[in-house]
Amino acid sequence: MSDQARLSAQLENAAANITPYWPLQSFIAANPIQGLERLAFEQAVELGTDLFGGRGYPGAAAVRQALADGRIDRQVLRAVVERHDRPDLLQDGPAEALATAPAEAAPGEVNRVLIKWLAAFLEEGQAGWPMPGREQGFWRAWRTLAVHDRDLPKRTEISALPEDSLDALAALMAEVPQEECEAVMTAHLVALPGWSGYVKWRAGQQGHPWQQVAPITLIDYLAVRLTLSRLFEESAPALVSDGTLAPDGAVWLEAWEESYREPLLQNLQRSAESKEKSGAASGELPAAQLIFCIDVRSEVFRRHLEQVGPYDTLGFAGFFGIPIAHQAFGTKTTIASCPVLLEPKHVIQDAPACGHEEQAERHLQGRAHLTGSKTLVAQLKESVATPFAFVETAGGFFGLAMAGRTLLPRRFSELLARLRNRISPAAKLAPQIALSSCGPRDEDVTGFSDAERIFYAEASLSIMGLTRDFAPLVLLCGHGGETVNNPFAAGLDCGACGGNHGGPNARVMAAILNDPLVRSGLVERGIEIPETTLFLAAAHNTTTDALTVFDPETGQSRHPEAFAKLQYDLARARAAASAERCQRLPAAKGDSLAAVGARATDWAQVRPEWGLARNAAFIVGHRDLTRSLDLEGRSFLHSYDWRADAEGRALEVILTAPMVVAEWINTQYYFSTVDNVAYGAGSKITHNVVGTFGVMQGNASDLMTGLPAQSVMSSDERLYHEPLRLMTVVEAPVARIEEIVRRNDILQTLFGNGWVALAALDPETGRLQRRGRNGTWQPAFSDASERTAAKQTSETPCAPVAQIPEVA
Amino acid sequence: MIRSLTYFVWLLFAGSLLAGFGLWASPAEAWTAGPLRIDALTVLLAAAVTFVSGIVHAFSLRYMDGDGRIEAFFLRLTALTLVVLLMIAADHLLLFALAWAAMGLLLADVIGHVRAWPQAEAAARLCRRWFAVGTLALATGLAVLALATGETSIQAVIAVAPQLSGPVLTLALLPLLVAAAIQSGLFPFHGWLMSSMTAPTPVSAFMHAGLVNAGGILLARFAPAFTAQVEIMTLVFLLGAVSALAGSLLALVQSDVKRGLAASTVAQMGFMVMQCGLGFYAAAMAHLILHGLFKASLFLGAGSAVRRVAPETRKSGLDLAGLAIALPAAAVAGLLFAAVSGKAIWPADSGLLLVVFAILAAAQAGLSLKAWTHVSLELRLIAIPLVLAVAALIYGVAVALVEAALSGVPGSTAPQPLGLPELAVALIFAAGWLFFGASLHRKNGWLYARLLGAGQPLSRTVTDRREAYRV
Repeated sequence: MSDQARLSAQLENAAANITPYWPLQSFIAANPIQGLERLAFEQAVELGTDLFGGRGYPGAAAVRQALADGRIDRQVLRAVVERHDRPDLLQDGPAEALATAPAEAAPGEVNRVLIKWLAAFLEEGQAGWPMPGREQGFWRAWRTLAVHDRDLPKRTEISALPEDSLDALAALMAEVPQEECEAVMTAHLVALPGWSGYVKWRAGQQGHPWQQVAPITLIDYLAVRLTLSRLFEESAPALVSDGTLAPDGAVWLEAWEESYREPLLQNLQRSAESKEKSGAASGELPAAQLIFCIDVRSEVFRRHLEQVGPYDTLGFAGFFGIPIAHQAFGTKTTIASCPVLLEPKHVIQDAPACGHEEQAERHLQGRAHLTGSKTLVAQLKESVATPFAFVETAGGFFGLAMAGRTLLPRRFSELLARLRNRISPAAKLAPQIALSSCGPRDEDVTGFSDAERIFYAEASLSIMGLTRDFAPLVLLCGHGGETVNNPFAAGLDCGACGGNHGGPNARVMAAILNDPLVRSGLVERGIEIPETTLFLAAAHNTTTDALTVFDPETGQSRHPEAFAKLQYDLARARAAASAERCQRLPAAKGDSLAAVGARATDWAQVRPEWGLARNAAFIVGHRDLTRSLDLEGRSFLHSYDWRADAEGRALEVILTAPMVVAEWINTQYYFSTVDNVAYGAGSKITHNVVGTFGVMQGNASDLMTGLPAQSVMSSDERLYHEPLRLMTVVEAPVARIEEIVRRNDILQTLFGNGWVALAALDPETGRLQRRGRNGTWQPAFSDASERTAAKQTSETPCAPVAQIPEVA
Repeated sequence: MIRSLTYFVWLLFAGSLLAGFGLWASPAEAWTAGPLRIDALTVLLAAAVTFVSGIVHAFSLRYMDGDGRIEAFFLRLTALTLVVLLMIAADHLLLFALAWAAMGLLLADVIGHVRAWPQAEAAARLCRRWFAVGTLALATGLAVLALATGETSIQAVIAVAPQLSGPVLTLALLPLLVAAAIQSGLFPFHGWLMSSMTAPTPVSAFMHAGLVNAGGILLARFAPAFTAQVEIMTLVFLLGAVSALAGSLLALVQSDVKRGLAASTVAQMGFMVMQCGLGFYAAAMAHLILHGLFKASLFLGAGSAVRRVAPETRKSGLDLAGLAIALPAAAVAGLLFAAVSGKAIWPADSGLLLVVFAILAAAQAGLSLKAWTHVSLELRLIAIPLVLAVAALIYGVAVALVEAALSGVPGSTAPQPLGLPELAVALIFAAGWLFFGASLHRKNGWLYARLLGAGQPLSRTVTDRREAYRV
């Protein structure tokens, strides 16, 4: 093996420790110690402390709070403590992490100078003057400019280094003994895990437009970093290891998790039994079926909607099974709108709906006015000599807008929307699903072929178990959040759509399912959709609970009565869902619809909604299993019909795709909560957006990955999110589940290493069983605990899963 | 309590407006009460400061929700507002100096609002040190004035100061200028401003809209004294011009939103001081108020900086056809601005420089509008002069209103003769506009690296390791 090949291999191993960081424009949840998932959870958490200084368990204060308000159940705690043979914990309570004071490090000049150059090189349209020569790549561009950097001692030495970054890295690593190379590289990579994570992401995105303008690799990154280390004579950074883990963290975590899981499982067991007793469903068709994303926020809305009318709701990954890149009308760029596990396979363009071409033209013209005005302002602000008179001319308008945004946020945003609509009136658009050519080359096509449309329709319907008994109206509800002035806005959007709004996917899928050609193709595959059934796309606004149908005219004309009733019930469900959510949101008093509406439009609002906070379970099964339960917006719900999936293909997809995404989300919330500095983004109040894609703290810092404090805490002192690992519950025969786990490495990793817990409700026995990490299945309840469950049932027929005091 | 403080600040705003009407209706130039004197400048600035402060208070109610030290935060914000009001109403030299000192201490404290964050602490320390130097300079200048004139009232001092001997006046004015330059973050005293992003966002908004303005307010308060000495006026002018240019260039290379805004403040404060140096103090006050509204709005909206931008390839070279359309239209707009805001064109005085800046901005706007290819060329040819004319009118009226309001304040508008420095600066900015507009700078690595370095925060205020931010 050549030196360079060996170096590349070592780098790859070292880089496995850091998690790629996605830009904030499409927020992708990720486990900050994803690279350590190969280890058991407890070991990974400890290694995380060594590498990132992270504290991977809930801290003593959080545990004490949970004990005080009953979220850690005393009885459960006793059982857990007994299991671990640690009765002393009952008396002593949680112990503080042994805070070995971090070694008083000299200001890290290498880190500081590296941040300066990384921000300059990587920025994506923030600076008026981009770094010269950056098209040559980070190492070459930096090597040329760094000789003028007065921060650098002995900077003339830089020119002596090879022009190629891998050669340079080889030269810089020449003195490091072979066996230490990987450790040295790791230490350099984890010194600024946010920035190196972003470089890792960019390096893997050859299609990213800014990677083409400013290409960077981890080799470049290390070459620059090692040069800086040499110039400043700083040795390789010692792995941090300053924060010791909370002792007994694993025990307390287990007690907390079991306090949530045991009642959940008991309720599911009870629900399954009553379902069995009541027999099969009445056989009457629902007035409408609504398909929501598995997102935990859907559960709240679904529950309220089912309570106000005869509706069936289903849960399915919000990209509706179609791996598309969406190209919005009048734009040149496409946005990948599918889970990042998948590569988008089809480009879908929006085009004016039939008969709306003129209107669309006006829309585009108006939009050109708006972008032109933005460019005008930007150029006046940026050019030398012109900002002064501009500020005096425009200052008054900025002042008025500032007052409007702050004092009357809702009214002001309505006013802006009206104004925007006046200039650029909304146009009726439709996604172009049929295959068509869009360029000279053979591969320049958009849309799906006939066979592809039928394939995706069949796959999606059968995975969600909706293959017969179609209601006259079927709504596909994509979702997104609504917030302004919020760098983390995309974090409220649909994770299954790659951190984007799920609306486009819903519209595409509805168009596919209404396509006569698709329907006749489906008949051949045994899925008969009645001619009267109409699929409609809708957008679920998770911040305001509004559910808006994209094409209400068609709904009205095809099923006037049912559609009117549905619209009415959606409004009622919205009111009830908002009221429930307002109890959990801080400072949301009074009229709940007004309160959520204000949060969505308020530029000062740091908690527009709680996002996926408190997520803790992933339930795969028929809605009958959960319909009677109040799951408090904490469960991902995926529809699944075990009878229709004898081979387990659908279940395999569910466990290896949506569940994995849910695990990313769950671990991101978990780690951002237990250590908001090492694994989260810190407080929003001192965030400084850098390069248009990330945030730093204060003047400059590491790129702050993960969730901000305000997304997981209700105040500096109080957690809102409960840091619990994901519990997956599947309604399917145990043998089938186990077979799927054995087939898939990722599932063995996640279940076997304790990142996700697994339970099954075996329909053949009607009993809940839990899987140990080693693959053994045990009944979930001993007889005694089942008696308690039965007793609880008789007292509170529809008890919430866990009694959680509302946040003040 | 935080709500009460917010209402209180809005009451102060209402009070400022009422006082403004009262003053306008009353025959008196000013109301004097002990060490306080309320004149047109006081009420104008009070209204501006309490407006921004009220917005910042209201914004912080939601933005800072859940912060462990939110009450301390609000108390300091309100206290800062009161101290600024005291400073602009002070007529006694000592009171002015005390308010100035208190302002610096409070500001440094909120820059370090997040306790236990060493870099925030370092930023606060840096500011405290600079403000101490500034206060010392201010005290020195004021002491010289008091000793030389035997007066302690600002009004009395500025009435007598022009008669002081040249060296004595210089001895008093130079330290005052240093104090103003530090407070306004002028280049090369901009280090503290570029290192102040450890402050919570609303503090930055208030700071860039209110507290950096104190430098200009100081110059305006002592305008008759400054105007009395031509050499000092030229120095004020040049100091401002250097900062205006340096700040503009620093802003170009910033890749994070808040430091970009801070660099732009360095430039804008430079322009404002330049206006003072030209004798247009009232125009400078208009600038600092309007810039304050602009900059506060941008800071509060700094969270919107995450957005999708497509890379663009900018060709170097001038759009000559665009210039041929934009320049004549801009010249007309400039004349319109001069007419509305009362700037002499012929024979020209230092006001011509402000007209030149108006023309450059108008020309830039014209160039930008020329590129609206989705509109027909004929329509653009008609629209460009119209749009520029309307903008010039708005601009002229805004400045004229402020100048009219301040007409009774001593020395508020004292145009200077047009000299070589003024002409040179006008030429440099025009050439700079063309040079950078033609993208001739893009490949200059030396200039880029030097600017990148000059805009860096002090190294101790950079959070070099993630775990240092343990709050």
